[in-house]
Amino acid sequence: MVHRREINGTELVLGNQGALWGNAMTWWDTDTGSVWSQPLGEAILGERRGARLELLPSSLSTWADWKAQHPDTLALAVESGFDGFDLETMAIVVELDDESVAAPVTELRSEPVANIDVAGVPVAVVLQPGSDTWRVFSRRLDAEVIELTLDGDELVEIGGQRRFDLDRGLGLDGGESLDLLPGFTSFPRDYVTFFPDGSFWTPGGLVPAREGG
Amino acid sequence: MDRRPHRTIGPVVIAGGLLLAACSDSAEDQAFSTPAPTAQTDENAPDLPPRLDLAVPDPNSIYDPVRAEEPLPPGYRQLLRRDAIEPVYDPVFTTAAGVDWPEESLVIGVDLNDEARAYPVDFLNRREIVNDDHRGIPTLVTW
Repeated sequence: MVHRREINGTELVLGNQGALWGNAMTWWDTDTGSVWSQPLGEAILGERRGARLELLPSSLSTWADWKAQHPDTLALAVESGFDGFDLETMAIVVELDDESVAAPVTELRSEPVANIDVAGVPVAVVLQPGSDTWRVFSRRLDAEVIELTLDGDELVEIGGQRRFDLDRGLGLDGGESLDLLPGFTSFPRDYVTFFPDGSFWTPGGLVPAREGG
Repeated sequence: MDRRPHRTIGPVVIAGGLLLAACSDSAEDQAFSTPAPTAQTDENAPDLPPRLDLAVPDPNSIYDPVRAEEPLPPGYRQLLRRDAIEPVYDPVFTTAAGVDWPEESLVIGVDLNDEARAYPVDFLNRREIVNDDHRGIPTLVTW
């Protein structure tokens, strides 16, 4: 979508609010901090609530078609290659038995271990502070389920004594080891698209990926 | 249960947009990706707009209705911090000959004030927001 970022002659600069409303993107304006809904082009929170940006004409087409119709077109100069992914913008997804949970990396930066259940399997998603290293472990040992937190480069049992190495979950001091589980990274918006029944983890609890299915 | 350590699968990226970046091997694409004259050397090439570089404050220094605990509309979910997905505040343009995008990749096209501009969807998948100035019209391109 393309909007005119101007209200009553005042030019706005808009950033990414990092929230979804109506399963769609929201913006923040950099002068009042009001929050805007992308599909409505309308402020839904803050001082500008109710203000609406004008929608401008635009098209979605292949590059070949657009160039054919507009030989003099300019092209947004983007950084070379399409592989410059920034982990900070992504989420770590655990999918087991058709159930899934996505842990946004920004959330894991504030709390580096997500103790969650996916399809009844107790798992821990771990992001090493200050690095891009992440792991997914089962929290089930032979006889019990534990919760984990991070202490330096070691995983430690909450309310217990067991410690594990972060790289492979090996039990330290001869203890039992954690099982590694598969995970993958995804952009949050792609996760919502491909896993509409999934959930986002936050330190405060799980949030449905798509309200109302 | 197998207690041996094994490797995780990851990171694997499932960005739908990546599929669009699949390169074509057609002769047309090969020819298209060869270096072409720039705007400075080709008198027929369009003029490039001046660089835009909008001033953006630290998001934490600006009022946030969520932090201020304004009543949130139903269905509002804060998932990431502001600008965790970094918007573009300083877009730069080149000529069509200056890029080697796959012919079948998608672009958002905008034609205003007798000037056409193309924004690749692959790029917008990652950055989501471009603040631009289209020959005097302040625009916001979002995906």
